[in-house]
Amino acid sequence: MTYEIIIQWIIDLIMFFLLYLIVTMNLNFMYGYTGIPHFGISLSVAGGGYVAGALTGRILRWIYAVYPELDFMYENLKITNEINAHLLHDPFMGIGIFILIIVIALVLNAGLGYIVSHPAIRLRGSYLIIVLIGMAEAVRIIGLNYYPLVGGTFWVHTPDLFIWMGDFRTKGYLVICMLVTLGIFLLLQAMSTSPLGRVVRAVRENPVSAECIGKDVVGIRTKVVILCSALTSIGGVLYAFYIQAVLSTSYTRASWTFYPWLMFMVGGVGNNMGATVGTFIFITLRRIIIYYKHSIEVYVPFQVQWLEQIMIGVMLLLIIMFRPQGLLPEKPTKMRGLNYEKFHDELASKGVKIPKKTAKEKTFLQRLFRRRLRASSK
Amino acid sequence: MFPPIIKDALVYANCVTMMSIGFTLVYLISRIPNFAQSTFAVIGVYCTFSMVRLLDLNPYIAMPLGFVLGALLAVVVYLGIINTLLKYGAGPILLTISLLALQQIFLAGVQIYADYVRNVLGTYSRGFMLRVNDFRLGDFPGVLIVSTVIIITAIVTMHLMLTRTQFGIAMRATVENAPLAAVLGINIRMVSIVSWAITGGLAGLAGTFLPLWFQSGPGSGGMLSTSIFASSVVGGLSSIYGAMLGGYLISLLEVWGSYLLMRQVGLWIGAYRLLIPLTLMSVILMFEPGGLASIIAKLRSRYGRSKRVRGEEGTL
Repeated sequence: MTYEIIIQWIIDLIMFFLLYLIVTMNLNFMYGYTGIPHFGISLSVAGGGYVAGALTGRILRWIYAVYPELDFMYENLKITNEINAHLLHDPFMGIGIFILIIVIALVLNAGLGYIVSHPAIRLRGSYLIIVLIGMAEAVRIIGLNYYPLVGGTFWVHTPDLFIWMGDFRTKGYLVICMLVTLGIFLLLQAMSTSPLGRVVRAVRENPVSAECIGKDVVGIRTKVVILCSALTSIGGVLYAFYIQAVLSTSYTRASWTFYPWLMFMVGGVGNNMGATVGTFIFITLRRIIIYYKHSIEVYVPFQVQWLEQIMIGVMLLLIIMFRPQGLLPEKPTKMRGLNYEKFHDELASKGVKIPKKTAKEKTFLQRLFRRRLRASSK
Repeated sequence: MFPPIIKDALVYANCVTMMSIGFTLVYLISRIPNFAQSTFAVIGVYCTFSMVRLLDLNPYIAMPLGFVLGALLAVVVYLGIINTLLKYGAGPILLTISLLALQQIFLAGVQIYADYVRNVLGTYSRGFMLRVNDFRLGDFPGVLIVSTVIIITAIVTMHLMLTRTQFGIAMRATVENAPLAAVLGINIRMVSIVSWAITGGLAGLAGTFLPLWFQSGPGSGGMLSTSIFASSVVGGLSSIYGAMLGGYLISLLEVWGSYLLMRQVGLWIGAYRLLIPLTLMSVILMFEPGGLASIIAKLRSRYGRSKRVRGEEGTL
């Protein structure tokens, strides 16, 4: 490997890590915190991608009045190249459109999230899973067959909004994606420690008792699905601008629903750090497999991707069996605005015993490999 | 004189109903949606493919093979994965995830087989249709006759088993209240194994019919799965008779509806065929989550024979 290839490999790794992290964190908020088994998360990613693919080029063509007589889909490459030539001298337009597209994606996918979850959000988990899997398939089929959206089985190019960065473009875009992901991370982290986070956990643990103390369970679940669908779509938008194209065939169930689920199951259900760790492990593993795929391909009479799929499936089964709570199990969250030392003192003065952290618990490795045979019944 | 669209619809409906019966049965016994169901059908598809293309035999020899393979795999899945996970104390969501993982594994296995057949044996192994290998009886294709006979036999056998045999009664008791049934000495493990075997077997059997009429490949399972989910949910997920009704309703509406729309609106709409069962399922869930079974029960309790209204927790 030469220096450039190593750099490119690392950028690719970080980029996919960030993209999947957005999906995983939202999924974790939905399932880990609220208990909504969203098995159609790929539809939100696809929704974001479709918005970026269908609207960016059209809006910019309208602004710059590039070839108004040509068909947008059939002459896509020509139009996109011309738009890129304009964008080269127009950084503010690039940034402005980037923000605009993200806002549109947020709004549209919030609506989409509401529509797809509405039929079954008040029912039991199995119904919701069935409906969401079906809806994700429907969104994929629409993208695949409705040609004007993102070019059907072909693809559509997205204009390079950051072309004005010149040689620094790839790294610059990486920094932007990092900032966006960090923003989402902080938002979800803040939400999970807020009163909303506590309500959401109450809904997960026992919907009936949450309802009894006057919480609108269905309303809270709907809100969480809407919010997380909207946030997930940012991942789709970033992905589209990273590869500068939108392929409707790439939003499969395996790659955008199944893998994110695996990632946060590995890392730990119900905490964002766990999701991060799981995503990092998984993405690194996958990038290594993809890099060495061709050297294995010589020895077997079939495509290596099937072997990879089997491996990943087996991995998930083993994790579910032996470590259902993930590498970093959920800890009780600290409430903001509560003085814990004072609280502990008060409890101690009333004679309540507080379990102290033992030295044994503290080491990271022991916490990592501590086995709990009896799984939490979730 | 016998329009091809009716044949299309009936063959499809027979296959979907066979699978939705199995889907509902497993849901009733184990309380989990079996997402690996459509994968058993893909295994059946490749049984027929191997019989016809590789061994040059009659496609119907694949029928028992598909049934046995599907049943065996389902039992292995139950004993190896589901039962083990239940012992570890996993809930329905974890079981569902594990079934999705299994679906990925099985599909990858089928893909490997297809790749192997293509690369080593040099036979085209994806997107095949074996209509020419089927026999014809007058105007009717063989697969229509055989699948209809099989589904009627299956329904009658199931009905007799559930109402006349001791084992069927044990099954119904397990569905009603598993712990209580266990207290009364019913071997719940055996009931579960048998119901999983029936499920896998029926799915494998349905799969063996598919390539005789439709273009099939590793993706046929995915194509079917939405219809299966929709028919089971519309049927109510609470009784296998509901699943039968739902299966025929959904698949006939899907085929005829898309056919009519294609004639009225244009051919392009055929690609969105999947949206028909999905819409029906959503509508049913919004207005009557209990599905057809609970609608029928309500009608019954209102007019004539008084039976208790069945909610979501149903009986066979």
